[in-house]
Amino acid sequence: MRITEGQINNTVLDGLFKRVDALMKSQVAVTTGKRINKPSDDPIGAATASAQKSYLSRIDQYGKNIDTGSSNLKMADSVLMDAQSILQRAKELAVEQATGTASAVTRNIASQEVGGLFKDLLGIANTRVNNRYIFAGFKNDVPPFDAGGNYTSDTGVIMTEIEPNTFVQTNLPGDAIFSAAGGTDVLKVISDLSTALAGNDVPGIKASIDELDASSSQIAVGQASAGSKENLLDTSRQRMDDMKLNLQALLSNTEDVDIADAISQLSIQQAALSAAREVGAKLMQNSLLDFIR
Amino acid sequence: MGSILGVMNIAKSALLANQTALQVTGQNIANVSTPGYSRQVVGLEAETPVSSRPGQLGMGVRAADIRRMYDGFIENEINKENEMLGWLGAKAAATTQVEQVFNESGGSGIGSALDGFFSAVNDLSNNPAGSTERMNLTSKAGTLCMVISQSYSELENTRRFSDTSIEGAIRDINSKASQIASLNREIANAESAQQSANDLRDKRGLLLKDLSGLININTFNDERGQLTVMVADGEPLVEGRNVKSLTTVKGSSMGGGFTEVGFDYGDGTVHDITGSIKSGSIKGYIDVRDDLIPRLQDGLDQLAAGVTNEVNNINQAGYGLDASHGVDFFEPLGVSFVAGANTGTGAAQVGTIPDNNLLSLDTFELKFTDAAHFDITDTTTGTVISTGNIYAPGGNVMAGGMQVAIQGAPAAGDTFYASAAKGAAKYMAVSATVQGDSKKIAAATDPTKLPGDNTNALSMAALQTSHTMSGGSVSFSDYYTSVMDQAGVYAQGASTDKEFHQNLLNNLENTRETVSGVSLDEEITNILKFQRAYQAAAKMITVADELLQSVLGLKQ
Repeated sequence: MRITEGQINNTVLDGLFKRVDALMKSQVAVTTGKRINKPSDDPIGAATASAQKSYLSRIDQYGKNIDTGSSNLKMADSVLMDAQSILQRAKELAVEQATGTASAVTRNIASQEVGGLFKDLLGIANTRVNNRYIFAGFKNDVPPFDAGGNYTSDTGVIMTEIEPNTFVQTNLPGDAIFSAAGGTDVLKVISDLSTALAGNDVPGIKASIDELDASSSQIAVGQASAGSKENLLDTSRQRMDDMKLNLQALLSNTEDVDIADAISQLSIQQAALSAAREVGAKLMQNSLLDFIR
Repeated sequence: MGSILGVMNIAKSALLANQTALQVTGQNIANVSTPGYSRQVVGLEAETPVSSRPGQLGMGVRAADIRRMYDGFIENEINKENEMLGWLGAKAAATTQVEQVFNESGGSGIGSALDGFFSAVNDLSNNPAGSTERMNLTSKAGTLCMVISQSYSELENTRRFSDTSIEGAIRDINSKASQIASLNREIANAESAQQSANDLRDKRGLLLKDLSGLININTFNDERGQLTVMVADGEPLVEGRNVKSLTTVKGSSMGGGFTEVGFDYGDGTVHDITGSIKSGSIKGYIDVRDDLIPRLQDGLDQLAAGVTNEVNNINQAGYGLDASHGVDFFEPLGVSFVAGANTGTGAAQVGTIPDNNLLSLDTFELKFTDAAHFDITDTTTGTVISTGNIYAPGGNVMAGGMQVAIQGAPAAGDTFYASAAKGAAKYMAVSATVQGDSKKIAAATDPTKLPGDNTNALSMAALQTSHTMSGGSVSFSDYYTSVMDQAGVYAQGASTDKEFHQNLLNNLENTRETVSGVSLDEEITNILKFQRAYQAAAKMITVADELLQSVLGLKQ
């Protein structure tokens, strides 16, 4: 077999090119931290990573959806608590003024206070979060209750997607909480009490005590409904957070390089390149000319 | 009987022969790095002896010929491999560019834009009355349109680049062909004088190798040593001293006037040989331009058309914040209705889409069986829709939800193609109505329940995961991933194949080196050998001279 200078040159060059190429790929992997830098690096991996990224973006979106719904429900929960105190105060007044020790004068004064309570409750029923009335239906850009305490909005249920194909109601139409649709017209009970007090109407005052109890439990139902939805959202948020962590780990497995491995690869390839250079230099230096005068 | 003069003659022949051998060795050393050079060897042989007593006497040595160490089989193999490498190399290089369009690793690709769009739809469903959310959705939709149409035009640019490369390759091929033809002439002239034209043949061999990198070739030698070079499917590019040329033909069939490769017979006839080119870099460019990129562009068209149509359908069904109804979110799709390579005078009229909801994004073919009847086929799925339809000039025909009409007199075999997806990626844009007023985005299904009704926005958001593409089997992002995957697999295949053939070629080149390559060690050994032989022959002349002196001295 004749081995010529050309062959040695080609072999040395070919080896060097391959080593430099491998080194460059390792370098890119180490500097970007990614195993897949273009689809052809691993077509299946790239497709998987793309699907995972898309899912991650959806999970982020579910998180935002949950936040929006949650802020509505939290606010509802808190203001309904205030509504309970108002009813409590109204009941105290009613019980006080229903006894014989009360007089037309005290009842008139109490009537003033109950009138104030009515306004407070109306304010609660017309609570706004982010420019939207949370106790309204779809028509949530105007107050759902008018000055007389009548419900003017609709019963539209606003759904929010909190998990793939899982929807949760994130508004609480106020007719079921503050109006007759829930069984007791809470606002009317308060205004009736005020009227009864003003008119020194003792049987009317006595009647409103029971109605106030019914109102209180109706509001409690609303609180429970908001609370349970909030719980659902919290659970979902937890689940989405877990899923996000999982997916991020999966995505990292798919497209990230194992840095320790990549760096050791890099140094192996560096060593291999210097070895190839050294051997090449030695090979190409040798010639018969060195040995004849 | 020997003679002193005979001794001198033998020595002289040895001097001359070794001198020639040294010169050839010098030539070998000088060309150790010349590409395509084949080492040369002097064929030394003993001169014809003369009969005498006591036996035949040698008459010295002569340099009979100068041979070129060459293996035609290997050279041929190298050229074949070089054709493959040229093809795959060009393919790999062009595919690398194509791949960049689908690079999602930076988070700025079509995939991310799709996710961004649907995220914004979700935000709208959380707050259907919010003007921020509406503005954001319009802007995210605009980004999606821009990324898709830019990707489409980047692909189109790569096609144009390939086209330019094809034109460059054609010029290169023509120049090499005429050089080969003139070398053919020189070689024939030299060899008719019983000279072996070694260096000219090497030069021609190298040209041939370069040519094989550009286009697939077939060659044979005639009896005068002239090479016939046939390209593609046996088109005679070089025949002895005659050379024909390749030329560019602006094709219309590929849609968009790309360069086709023509073979110019020199008598005014040009034959389109684009389809019969099997390898060489020109084939690589053709593959990427006519095979890979159109497939990817079709994919983008399908995606753009799918998103446009599905989103429009939902937006039209719902109500905007201002109770507007029936508004297109994206600029609506148009019908691309074109005639094939027809013989009749039938002309495609403009097509329309009467109802978005009934629209198919497949391509439909209207094929005339005779002048009065045509069949309709869905060429995407291969399904025959109807046969034997009666042709009425200007009459409306429904195909896949598109209403088209043909004028004139089509002939049998004429075809017309209707597609709503074609061009969708290039022209994808948010509709002027929505762009001008984001209140027109329909988040509500009931105009009496504004502004809180988010049910239509929820339906739109559900499009992200619903299986709307490829006949209802995959979602938008899955479909996009499959398009991206095509580019990735193609690029990966091209570069793996290229590496494989590069290795094969390296092996062949090494085999060629063992036969034709110059080894300096060998040449140095030869120098010593010929130098010693020359010195010894010179010594013989001295000896013969001394003998003559002795003879001449006898008389004194």
